[in-house]
Amino acid sequence: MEKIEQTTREISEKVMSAIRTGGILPHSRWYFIIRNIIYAAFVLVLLLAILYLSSFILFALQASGFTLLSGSKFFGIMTILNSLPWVLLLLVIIGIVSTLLLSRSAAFTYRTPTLYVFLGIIILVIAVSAIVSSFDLHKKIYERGHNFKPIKSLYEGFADPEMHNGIAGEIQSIDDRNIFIITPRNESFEVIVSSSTEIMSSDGLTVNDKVFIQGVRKEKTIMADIVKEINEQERNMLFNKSYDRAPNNPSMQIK
Amino acid sequence: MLDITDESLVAQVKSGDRDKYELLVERYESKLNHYATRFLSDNDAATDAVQDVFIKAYINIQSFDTSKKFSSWIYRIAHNEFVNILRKKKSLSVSFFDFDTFFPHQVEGEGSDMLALKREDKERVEKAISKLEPKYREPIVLYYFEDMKYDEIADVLLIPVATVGVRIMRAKKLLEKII
Repeated sequence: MEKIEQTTREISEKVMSAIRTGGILPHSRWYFIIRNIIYAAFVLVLLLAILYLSSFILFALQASGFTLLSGSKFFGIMTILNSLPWVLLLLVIIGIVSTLLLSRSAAFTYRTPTLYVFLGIIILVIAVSAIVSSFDLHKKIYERGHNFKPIKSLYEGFADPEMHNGIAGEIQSIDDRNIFIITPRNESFEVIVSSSTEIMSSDGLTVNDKVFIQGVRKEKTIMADIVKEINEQERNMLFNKSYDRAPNNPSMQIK
Repeated sequence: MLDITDESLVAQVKSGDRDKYELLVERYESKLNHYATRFLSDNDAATDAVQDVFIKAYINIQSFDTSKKFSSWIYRIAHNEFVNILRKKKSLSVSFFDFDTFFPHQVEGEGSDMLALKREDKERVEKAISKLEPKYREPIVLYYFEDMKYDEIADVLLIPVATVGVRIMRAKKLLEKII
């Protein structure tokens, strides 16, 4: 016990001596104010990035036709594995975990089990993303930024159905076996329908119906896995490279 | 001087009266030295570590919010310092997620029975404590020897109060086996 008391006296003397001689100087109040502002700005930017990416994922799932396939017999593990934007999902998860780690020192986060905080952030992110998606924000961003390479690559890479073997069009004619469609960009395709093709239509396909085709494309033919009849609202949800440029086919124009 | 609160002393240090810091050092040096010795299980490292704690606390004194408890703040600085020392010595693995803090727990709180048990156990615990892994050793040191409550320990370790209870409960079971 005596040794500890002696040690503590030494500590006190050394610390106070360093302080009195000016060997140790405290950081100024402004140092902490500026540091806190930078910290808060960093967390805010991180949160905005998470919200942007997660709302983009929701947008991409709708715009790429992923959600249209949910009732299909082809919609299984493989469709999910091939169609989900895994890289973006991983970035969102890394962002959420980083936010969690950065906010650990705040009493409301460390006093609450991490699971609850994690779920809370996820619910918040999904809710805000759904709200953001409903305002067509991403269509507007693409409209204005499609000449900027990163924007073009992101939107066309993840949201364009053509990147996932999907295409939307309007039926021009139907013969015994195949369907002929025209896309909003006035491209014509012959859709080869086989016995394994799944037709998703409540009352059969007719000319002028709008359809979403999932299948492998080879030049001007598509080997269809799925032909799904879609309505105007569903059509408008799909990605279109000419959102802001009047398409040649007025009936397919995005409003 | 004894009736002046820690927080009032800090306010005076913050406004430029650096000599008042000596009173704070005197109030906490013995406590922190005991905490360091028990947690680090190394007397020499403990002395240097406590000295560094006071230096870091002085450097960062302007960041202390005087509406909060100074003891929790300085113990938090001490915790960080000691954990860094253990990490350097490879006695503590770095983990970003601790499952103890991840899931909610329902744990028996601090009651009068437990406080009575505290006094009886103190001597036995002191002997065996160095054999516990740091994760369980630290809450035991803070609870049994620094007389902190669960919520105060939670503020020092930045973990949920229930997790403090879980760790103390598990540490006691481990200690029973060791003793």
